[in-house]
Amino acid sequence: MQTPLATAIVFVYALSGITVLGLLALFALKLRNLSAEKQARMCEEKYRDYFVYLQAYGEEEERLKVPYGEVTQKEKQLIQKKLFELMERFTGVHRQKLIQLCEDMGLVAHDLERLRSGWKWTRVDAAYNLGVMRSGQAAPDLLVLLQKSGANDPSLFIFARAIAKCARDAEDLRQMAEYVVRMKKNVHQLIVDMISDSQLDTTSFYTEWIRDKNPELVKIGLIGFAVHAQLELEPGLSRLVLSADKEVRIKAVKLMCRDIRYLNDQTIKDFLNHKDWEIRALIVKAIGAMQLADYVPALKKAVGDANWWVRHHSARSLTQLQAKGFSALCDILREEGSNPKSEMAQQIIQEELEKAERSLGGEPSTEKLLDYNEKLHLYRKSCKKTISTVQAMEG
Amino acid sequence: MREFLLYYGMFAIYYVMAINSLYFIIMLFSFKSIMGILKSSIYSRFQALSGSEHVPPISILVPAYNEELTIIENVRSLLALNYPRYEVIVVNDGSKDDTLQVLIQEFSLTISKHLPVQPLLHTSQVRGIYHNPDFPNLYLIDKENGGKADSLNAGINLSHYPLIASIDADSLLEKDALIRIAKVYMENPEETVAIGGDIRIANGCKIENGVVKEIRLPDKFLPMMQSVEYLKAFLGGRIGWSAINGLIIVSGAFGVFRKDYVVKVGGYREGYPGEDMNIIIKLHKYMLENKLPYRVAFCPDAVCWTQAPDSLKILGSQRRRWGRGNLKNMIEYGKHMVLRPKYKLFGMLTLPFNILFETLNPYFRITGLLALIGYTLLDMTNSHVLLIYGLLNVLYGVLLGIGSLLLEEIAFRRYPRFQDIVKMLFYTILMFFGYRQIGVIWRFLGHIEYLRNNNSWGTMTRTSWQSKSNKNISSLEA
Repeated sequence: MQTPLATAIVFVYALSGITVLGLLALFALKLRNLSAEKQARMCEEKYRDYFVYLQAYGEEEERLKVPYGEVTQKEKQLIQKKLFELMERFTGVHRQKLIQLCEDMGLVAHDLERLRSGWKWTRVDAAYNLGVMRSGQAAPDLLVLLQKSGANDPSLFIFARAIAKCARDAEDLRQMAEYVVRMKKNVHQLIVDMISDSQLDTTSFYTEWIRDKNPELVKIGLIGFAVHAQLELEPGLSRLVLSADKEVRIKAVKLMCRDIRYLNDQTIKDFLNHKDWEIRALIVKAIGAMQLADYVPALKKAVGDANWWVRHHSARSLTQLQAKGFSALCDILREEGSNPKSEMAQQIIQEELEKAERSLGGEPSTEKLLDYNEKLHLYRKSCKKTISTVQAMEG
Repeated sequence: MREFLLYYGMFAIYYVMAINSLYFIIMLFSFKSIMGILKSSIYSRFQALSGSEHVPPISILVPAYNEELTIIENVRSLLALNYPRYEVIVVNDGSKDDTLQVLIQEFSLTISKHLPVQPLLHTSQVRGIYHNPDFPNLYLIDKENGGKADSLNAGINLSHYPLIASIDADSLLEKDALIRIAKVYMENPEETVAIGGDIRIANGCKIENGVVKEIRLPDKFLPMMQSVEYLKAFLGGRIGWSAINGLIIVSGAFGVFRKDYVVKVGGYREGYPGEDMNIIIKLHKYMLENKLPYRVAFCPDAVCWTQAPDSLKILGSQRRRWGRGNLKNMIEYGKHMVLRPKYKLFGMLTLPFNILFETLNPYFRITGLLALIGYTLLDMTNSHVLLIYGLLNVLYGVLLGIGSLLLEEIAFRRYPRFQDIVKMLFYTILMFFGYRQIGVIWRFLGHIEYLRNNNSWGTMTRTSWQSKSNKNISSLEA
C-alpha cells in the first residue's frame, strides 16, 4: 500500500543532518571555551607580577609601564579585561593612570578601529571597552551608533552607558538622554544611573535640565537633582508643581518636601488639598518627618482621605508628633464611628502601643517607660475603651 | 480498520512534525535573541547597580506550607541578596509542621497584630504578622490555610513596594538574580508587567548558607532528566516566546510582577493549581483588552535554583498537577480568547499552540502511537511507519536538546566541565525511551483528575539543603 511518508522521510534525513551539525557546533564551542579559559589562566599566571605592579604603583607619579616583551593580541585582550577590573575598583588618579596605560598599549586605538567594524557585536564590544577606558575621542562615533539603535535593540543601553562614560561635555549627555527617552518611555531612573558614571560634574546641568522645555529632560533633571544634595533653592520647582505632566508634578513635590524652605503655609495647604493622592501622601509624610506640629489638625483630617496611602502616612506622621499627634489619633477613635478613618487610627495606635511595649523589654529607660505610660493613658482617656480591651493590650 | 489505523498514525506523524517544527521556530527566536542577552548581561555593571538608589524596590513574597526543612536557608539566602532596597514577606499558609516556629525562633520575630495592611485582595484570615526590627526587611504573615495563590495575595496586601517577586520556599536565588531582573525592568518600566527568571535544578549542587557554591549536575536519574527538561523549556522555549511577547507562563518558582497590574486583574486565582500561568494569561488579557502597550519578559541570566522531585511518586504528583492547571486555564480562557484578533499574537498563536500542542498533546501522541503499533501488528511489512514515527520524535527531541545546550554554552556556561555536556546529551536521548511517555501519561491522568474535580496539591517532599534527610509532608490544599 502506498503511504504518504515521503515528506516525513525527507524530514528524518534533514533532521539527522542538522542534528549532526548541531552536535559538532556544540562540541567545538565547548572545546573553544575550555581552551579560552585555559589560555586566560596561563596569561594570568604569566602576568601575575605585572598585575601586582599595576596595583602597587597606581598612586605613584610616574606613568605605568606597558608589559615587557612581545604581547600577542590575545594576551592584550586578557590584560585589558584585568585592567577593566582594576578600573572598576579604583577611582581618581589610579584609574586615570590605568586609562593612560590602555592608551599606551594601543587598546584605545584598537577599539576605536573596531567601533567601525561591519559586525554589530564587535562594535558593541568596542563601545563597552571605550566606555570603560573613558575615551573622549569615541564620543562622536558612539553617538552615531546610539542613534542607529532601535527601541528594542539591547545594545541601546550599552551605547548609552558608554557615551555617559566618554562624554566630553554636557551636550554629549544631553544628546544621549534625549535619544534614549525618545526610544524608551519612563527610563529616567536608568538614565540618571548611567549619567552617574560620567566624569563630568553633573550637578549644574541637572539644574539646567529642570528648567528645560522638554518634560522628559525635566524628569531626568528632577531625579538627578534629588541625588545631589543642593544648598541653593531651585525656584523652578514651584512652577513645576503646576505642570500638566503628573510625573513632573510628583517629582517636583518630592524634592520640595525634602527641604522646609520650600514649604510655606500656603504651599503645605495646597499640597494637602491636591488632586493627586501621591502629592497628598508626600506632604503628610513630610509633615511628620519635619515635626511640623502646627499641622496636627490637618493630618487628623487627612487620616480620613480617600486614598489608603494618604491615610496611612497621615496616621504615621501623627505618631511622630509626640503626645499631641498621638492624642489626635485617639480623638479620631472617639469622634468617628466605624469607618476607614477610625480603622486606620486604631491600627496605628495599636501598633504604636505594641512597639512602645516591646521597647520596655530588659531594663527600660525612664524615658521609654514614660512614653509608653503616656500613650496608654491617652488611649484610655480618649477612647473610653473598656478596661478589658486595655488589659488585653497590656497583657 | 488497517487503513484507518494507518491514516490516524500518519496524522500523528504530521502532528509530531508540526509541533516540533513550531518548537524549532521558537528556538530560532531564542538564538536570534541570545547575543543581545549575552552582551547586555556581561556589559551591565550589576555590582554597581546593586548599590544604586535608582533601582526600584521589590517585595519578595515567599508562600510556605510545611517548609520547616528548607525555609531558614531560603530566607537567609534572600536576606543576603545583592539588592539595594527590598523586603522579604514569608507567608505561612497554616502549616501543620513547625514552619512558623522555626522562623520565629531563628529570626527572633514577635507578633504585630495591628501592622497596617492594605486590603487590596481578599484572602483567608490572617492570624498575625511577625517582625523584628533587627531584620527590618523581613516580615512573616501567619494565616489560615488557603493555598499558594491565597498566600501570594496576602503577601501583596502587606507589601510596601511597587514590584513583587514570587519565590518558592524550596528555591534559592543567586545573589544577583534580583538585580538582573530589575535591570530588565528598568530598561522598559512602562511596558513590562512581568518578568520570569530561569529555573535550574539544584539537586547535586553544593549549597552552603543558602548559596549555591558549586554547580554540579544531579547524580540521580529523575532530577537529571528534569535538569535537561528545564534547560530545554527555559532556554529553548521561553527566550523565544518572550522575544515575540507570547510567553504564557512565568514560573511560580521565581518571577517579578508589577503590583498595580496584578491587583487590577484581581490577584492570583485561588482554588486551582496553575496560578502562575493563570496570572500571566490574565495580565495578557487585561493589557490587550485595554489596548495598553506591554510585555511579559524573560530574564535567562537571573537564576533560581530549585529542588527537583527525585521519586516517581512525587514527580507524578507534580506533573498531574501541572496537567490539571493547564487544562483549567485553557478551558477558562481558551473559549474567550482563542483566534480572536483582539488578543493579537497571544490569542492567535500562543493559546492555540498551547491547546493543540501542550494540552491535547497526550491524546494525539498516545493514540497515534497505539494506532501505529496496531497497524504494524496487522501488517508487519509496513513496520517502517512506526520506525519513522519514533525517529521523528527522537531526532527532533534531540535536536531541540542540542539547541538548548548550544544556547547554554553560548551565553551562560553554568556547567563548566566537558563531561557535563556529554552527560546532558546522553540524558537528552535517554529521555525518549520511557521518561517522555510516562510524562504524557501523567498529563493525561491530570486531566482525568481535573474532570473528577480533584484539586489537591498531592504529596510534596522537601529535603533540607543542609542534610540529606527527607521528610514527607502532606498536600498544600486550598
